[in-house]
Amino acid sequence: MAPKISTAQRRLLKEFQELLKSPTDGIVAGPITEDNLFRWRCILEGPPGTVYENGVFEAEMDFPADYPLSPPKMKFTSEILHPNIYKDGTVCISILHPPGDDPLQYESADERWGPLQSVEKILLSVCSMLAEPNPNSPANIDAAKLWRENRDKFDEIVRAQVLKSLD
Amino acid sequence: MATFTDPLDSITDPSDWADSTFPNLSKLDSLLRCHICKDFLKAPVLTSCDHIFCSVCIRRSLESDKKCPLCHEETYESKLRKVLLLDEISTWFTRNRPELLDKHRPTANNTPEPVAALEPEKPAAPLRYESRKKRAAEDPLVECPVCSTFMSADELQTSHIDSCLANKRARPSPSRPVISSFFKKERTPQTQPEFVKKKTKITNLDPTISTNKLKEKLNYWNLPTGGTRYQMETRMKEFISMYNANLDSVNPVDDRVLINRLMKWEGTYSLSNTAGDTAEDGAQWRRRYRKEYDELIKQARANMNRINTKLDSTD
Repeated sequence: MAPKISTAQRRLLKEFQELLKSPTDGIVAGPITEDNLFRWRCILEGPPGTVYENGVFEAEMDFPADYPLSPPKMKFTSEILHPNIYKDGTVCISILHPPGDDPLQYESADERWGPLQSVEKILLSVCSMLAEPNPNSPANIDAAKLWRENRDKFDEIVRAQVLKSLD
Repeated sequence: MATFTDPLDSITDPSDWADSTFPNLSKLDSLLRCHICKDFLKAPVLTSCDHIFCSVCIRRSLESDKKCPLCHEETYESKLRKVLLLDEISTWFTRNRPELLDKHRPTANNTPEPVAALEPEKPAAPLRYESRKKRAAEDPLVECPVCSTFMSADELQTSHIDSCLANKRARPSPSRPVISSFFKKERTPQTQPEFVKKKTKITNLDPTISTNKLKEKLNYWNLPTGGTRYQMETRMKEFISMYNANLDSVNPVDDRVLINRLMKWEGTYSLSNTAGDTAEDGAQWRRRYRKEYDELIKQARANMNRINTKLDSTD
């Protein structure tokens, strides 16, 4: 008999199993320890053709007890400069926002969090966010400014971070 | 390590059929799953936009967002309709899945023709207890109109009905009562037991309810009244979802079983909130994913070298 585990835990185990069985290129993710399924570590490869290319970035995900009804939180532990990533590494992306709190409705429901989204979809969205920053809702104002006004400098910093991520 | 891999093994996936002799079953396997929990449908319900989820999953989801998670159309709990037939199909599949999977496992030295296991047994073979038992699991059982014993249609027509009519006292062979009494317990398909029909769904919790009223409500349903206001509210909400979902099941359980499940749910629910792992766990994680990590870095370095050499050659 399967041990008694919650819906959230079952669902997380299932996603973990799927990621192990059919890994997606450039993405590795799994629970950090065996006794807490609600904390994951992920590794993202910088998308090819972007300034993040060749970078290997680490991030952590914290899942709520009512997952998949509420989204996880994602935070990069590697240094990474990006207009939509806070200085502390927290990722600001529509897929991690619950459908409830968007009074301006500028993010469509499809892009936002819902129980049908998954870890894999989040990581793929973050990859495309790395490729195409959204300058309309900057989380890191300095990075957004640099990205807009001095792209060479921005790219230079990111390239240094890419090199650092490989150590 | 065992504690980690064991629950992982208990999680089923449509891809389990990939190596079987009938890989197409993965389609059925995935069709019978709920989009929210990714597990087999339990007490499935149909939304007003024609989508199907486990009753408890969609009720929990509608609690925070009154939209269908699939099509984002507005949906209300009151509009959910149970689909008992699908509940029975899903239950049947879940129960028989391990055996089905086992039967379709390719044997090591003898590759069977695909679908062979699905073909009916040779009709000429004499009916022995074993094969009858197997049939009982696969064929729908029919009731003898004379003695009300359940058996396969085949058996009823070929031998039983004659002997039964000739001698109304004819009783099933000694091995049969076990099976027939077991199946007699089953209700006619797609009906719920009487006790459920008398029950009505609990209306959703009014968020402005006073704490005293909330306690009264919890007391009424024999639920614990301990913890903070938030904990009581969460407990009540989850109980309402469980209770209402139970009424959508073809095999509903007693309220006491529900309360038991609720308490277990609360136990696992609070577990997740315990923080506490950092550096050491990180090291553990890195060890586990060493291979993947190294692979990624190797690829990245290779790409970089390629680009560098390209740049060099163009210089």
